[in-house]
Amino acid sequence: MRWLRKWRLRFRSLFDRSRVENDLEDELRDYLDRETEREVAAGAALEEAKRRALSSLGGTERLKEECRDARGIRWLEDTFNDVRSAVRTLRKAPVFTITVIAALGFCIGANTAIFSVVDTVLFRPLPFPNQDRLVAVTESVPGLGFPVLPFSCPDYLFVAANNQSFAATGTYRTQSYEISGAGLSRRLTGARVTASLFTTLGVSPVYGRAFTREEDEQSRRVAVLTSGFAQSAFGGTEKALGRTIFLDRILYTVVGIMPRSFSFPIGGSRFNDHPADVFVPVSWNNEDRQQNVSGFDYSMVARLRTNVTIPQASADVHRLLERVVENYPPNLREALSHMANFSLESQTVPFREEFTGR
Amino acid sequence: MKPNDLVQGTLSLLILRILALEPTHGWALSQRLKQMSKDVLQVGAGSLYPALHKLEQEGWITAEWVLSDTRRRVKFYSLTKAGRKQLATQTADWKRLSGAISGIVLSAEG
Repeated sequence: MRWLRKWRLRFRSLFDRSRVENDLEDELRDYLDRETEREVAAGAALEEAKRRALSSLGGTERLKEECRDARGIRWLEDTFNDVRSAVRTLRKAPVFTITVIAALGFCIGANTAIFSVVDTVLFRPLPFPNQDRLVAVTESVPGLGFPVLPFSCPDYLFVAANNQSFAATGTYRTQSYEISGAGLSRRLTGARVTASLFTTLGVSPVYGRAFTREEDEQSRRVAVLTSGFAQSAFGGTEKALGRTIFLDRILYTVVGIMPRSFSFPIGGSRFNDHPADVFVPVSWNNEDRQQNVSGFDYSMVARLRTNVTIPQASADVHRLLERVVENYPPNLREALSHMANFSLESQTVPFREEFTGR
Repeated sequence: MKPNDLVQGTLSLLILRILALEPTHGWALSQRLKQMSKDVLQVGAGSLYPALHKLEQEGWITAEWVLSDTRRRVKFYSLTKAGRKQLATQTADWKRLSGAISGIVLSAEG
């Protein structure tokens, strides 16, 4: 137990300093007494004996210092003394002290604030399972000055149907609705989404269900609400199930309530950036389906297949968009062929970058 | 090995050696050292006490306060188990070192 004894001594030297100092004092006095007695016994006068005893120690203060050094805690004692003298100095110059403390406090506060924002936006993972497999896919027509655009309906449908990179794809578009019914009359943000959006994100309603692909294709009027909106509109999440609301005077039935943590689209996204209260089927009509090279309104999110990388997916979508142009109606293709700069391109980036921009 | 280290190491060996005989206090140790070294090593009390505290800190010796018949507090040092082991090691080292040195020096002398 040598180390135990060692540390006990160290602690004592540190926290019981007066006792350690007294011990050292007593030990040296004992030496001096005995040495003086020896000198006296050898025939020296008392004063001379005392002087000789003292000089044989070679200076008591220096010796004490060396003994303290030997205890190996000098650095800590020195630090204590430095701190004590620093506090004394600071107390003598209160204006200086306050200025320094305020400056330091401000800097630390600013750092903390900036870090909290960066932490939330950049470092905290998205509230979706396996979020690192989610990607945002966009189109672009660089020759016409559009470096990044959401998808058009026909392009999305073509990519969703023909890609080999994605396990699931979904799309959404936010818009403002006038809501009425349930004692409400105001405007809110809603999102028209494909039924596949929820499965792509990997989030399902806590109460009720998400709408189905069939309901989307058959233009059924069903709605999924956020937890917060269900609470404020119906006074309870579960209570809202089966109730009805009017969106732009069209009657919708509430079929599902999302978890409290679900807020989508995430604020600050490049497009469709306002969190929605209500999600309804996108239910494209024939007109939507023929909006070639126009109606770039639909944000696309996709979940990568296992072992597919972002560059691979990106190349895949790129090839598909070249084929899309080939499948356009002849008159449109003819018109586009006169535009030397026209090309339809795409980018695939981690979904996180959709709203951090990096 | 710096000359200082040699002296330090030697001093601790001497202290351990003396304490191995019986527990004793600083002054008695200094008297013993004086007698034994016969002024050759010049070990004064000024080097003895720091060395004692260092050895105590290392855990090779331990100290006990005893009241003398004249009611003085006296610090008695004694060897610990670890100190006994250390003494054996240092003695062996010393034998090897001094043997080697004297071997060289004496043979050079012819």
